[in-house]
Amino acid sequence: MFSFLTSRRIVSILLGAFIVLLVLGALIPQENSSPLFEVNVWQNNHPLLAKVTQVVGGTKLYTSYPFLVVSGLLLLSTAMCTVQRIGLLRKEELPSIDTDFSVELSPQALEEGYAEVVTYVRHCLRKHGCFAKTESFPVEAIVVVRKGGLGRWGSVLFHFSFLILLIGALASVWTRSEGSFILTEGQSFRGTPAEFVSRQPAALPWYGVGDFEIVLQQFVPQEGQPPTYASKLIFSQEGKEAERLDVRTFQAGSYAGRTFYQKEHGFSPRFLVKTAAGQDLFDGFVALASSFSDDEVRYENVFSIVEGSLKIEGQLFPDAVQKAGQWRSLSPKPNRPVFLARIEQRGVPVFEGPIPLGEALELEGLQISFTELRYWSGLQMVTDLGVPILYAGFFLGCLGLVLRTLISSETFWLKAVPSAETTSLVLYGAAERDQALFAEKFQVLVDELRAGLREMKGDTIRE
Amino acid sequence: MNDTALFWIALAGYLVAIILLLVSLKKDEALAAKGVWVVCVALVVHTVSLGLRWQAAGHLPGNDLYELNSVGGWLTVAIYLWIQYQYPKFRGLGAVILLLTIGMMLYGVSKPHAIAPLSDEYQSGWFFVHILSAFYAYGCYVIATSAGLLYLVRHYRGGPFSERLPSQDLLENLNGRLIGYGFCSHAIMLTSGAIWANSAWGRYWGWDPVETWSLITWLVYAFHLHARTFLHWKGQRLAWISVVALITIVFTFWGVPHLPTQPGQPG
Repeated sequence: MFSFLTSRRIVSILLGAFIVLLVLGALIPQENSSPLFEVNVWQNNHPLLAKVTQVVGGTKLYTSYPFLVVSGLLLLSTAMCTVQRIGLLRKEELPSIDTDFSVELSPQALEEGYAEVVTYVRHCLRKHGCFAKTESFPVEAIVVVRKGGLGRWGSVLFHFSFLILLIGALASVWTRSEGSFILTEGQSFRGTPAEFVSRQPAALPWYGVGDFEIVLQQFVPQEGQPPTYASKLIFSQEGKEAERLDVRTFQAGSYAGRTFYQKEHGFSPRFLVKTAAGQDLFDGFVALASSFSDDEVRYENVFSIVEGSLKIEGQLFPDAVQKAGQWRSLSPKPNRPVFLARIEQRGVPVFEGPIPLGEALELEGLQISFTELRYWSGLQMVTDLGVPILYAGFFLGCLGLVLRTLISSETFWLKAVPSAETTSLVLYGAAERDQALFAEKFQVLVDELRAGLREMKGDTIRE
Repeated sequence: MNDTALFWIALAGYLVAIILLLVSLKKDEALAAKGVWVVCVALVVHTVSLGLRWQAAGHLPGNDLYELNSVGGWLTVAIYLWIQYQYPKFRGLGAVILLLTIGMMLYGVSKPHAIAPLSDEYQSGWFFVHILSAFYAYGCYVIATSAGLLYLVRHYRGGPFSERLPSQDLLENLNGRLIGYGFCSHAIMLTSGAIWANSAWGRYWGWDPVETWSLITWLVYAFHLHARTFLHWKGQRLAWISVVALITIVFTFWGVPHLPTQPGQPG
């Protein structure tokens, strides 16, 4: 099994199969990731293709067995290869003498000893970032320079990062929970199930809501195109303020392992309902749902006040004007808020018309006032213990690749070669990969040596 | 003079350099050195153009397709000059690289390119790591593919013209090495993109067509490196894979927005 999974041919086949599956996933709208509307449109436009893909599981490709099997085998294979590579690192692979580039230096000069030439060669190598150090080597050499050993660790690190990514992905699947809640300015969220709409509960029994209190201190809309928004949040724990956080559109904030995203917003008008005797029946904020279209934003809702047997339905115009009998808003800013209401009492319509901010409506036995207008903010809260592990995997993978691609193993060595007449000094070079490019580099070094030695000793190089 | 005028001057400079580099392959080799100098001057003009754009917009260029392709072209030419400095034999390669770069820049300038403030979702350091690593990767891939194309020219068409090109071994080495650099940068792009997406939208991976195609291209290059290192594939097979891989990148830009899986497409 080990040799099967570490077979280079098998890895290539798995990689190819994975690419093909991804291409299919990108071409066929996926029920898990594409909007339902897009999926339906595609299925209506391509009925036959849609049927075939549904039968073979192509519309849920990323959770289908072929995808999970191929990606699982690929990850397993990468894990095995990592183990194999750690083993290979122990075996030192030294270049063989016959796979090198060589140049013979100074036969004449050596009659008077070669210490000076050796010193000069060391100097030249150092200039090219190659530092000589004493170490055992299969051939008897005067100077040995080896660099780029770290590059081999890069490959191990890169493969190892896939294991970390696998662990991170599993942790993410088991612990990720997503949900949302809305807060009107000044209100607080205490994490009770009634306050939190869970969109994706974690697979493990992991309490993802938290035991803290969040207060929306202020919601700040900002000018600009497109407009942006910020929620100023105060986090408290055990009654004490712990942290203040600004969560902006596209700029999340984190607290206690939870990440908060600014998702939606709207207006919450405050209504006060009193009886003729002055008894308060209702005093509270009602969050209006926001719906966005190309040319307008609508803020509307329907709510009931049981005590007064009232059903209030209405739409808010934050910057209201009335033209040709129609209400509209000049801007989304709350400059002149008007609530256009339709009120029923005990199922009978009793009022239909505008209630401007600060004004009261007198009905039979009841007074309804629109006393205040605040923003509400919709926040998404995500907990995912896999994210830091995934980031660590990403980081290790990138580091491994940087080491592997930027550092490759090169070796230079200088050897004394005796002949019938004299002893020659020969410089050899070997590279782990890209030999043609290395030959170019070797040639630059040789040209430099040639020029330097000619200056020192006259014409001294023979190739 | 505004940034767009300088952009066109730089583009013209690259065009002149292509002519000089091509003529040098046919006739006079001394023209190649002049061609490289023209590229250097055009790159300086291009740098000033991007600098002016940066100053006027108040943010790093990267807000629209014009800026993205201009930065991409600039990085590609800069990498080419660095290679040229390291390995002087690669002069002929410049003509192919500059041709692909001009194509990229012309595509960008054909799109609307009025200076606009950076929208909120792009105001993240990770976004700039994402786009810079993307274009460094694409620059490396463009040069690697150019080397692959010249390899194929040498392989399929002999004669004196081919003899003037760098050797096949050199072209193959350059192809592999730059794909390695690009692959590395591509990984940084995917990583920074995931971190950026997580901070902006609350998800690090959503299987949307753009990110899936980006992963596909990365895997195609992974296949190239794997085939080169472990299966010991050589020569035209690797050159062809690098050409196909670049086509997948072009598809990511031009094809993916028209896929039925892309939000907003009628299917």
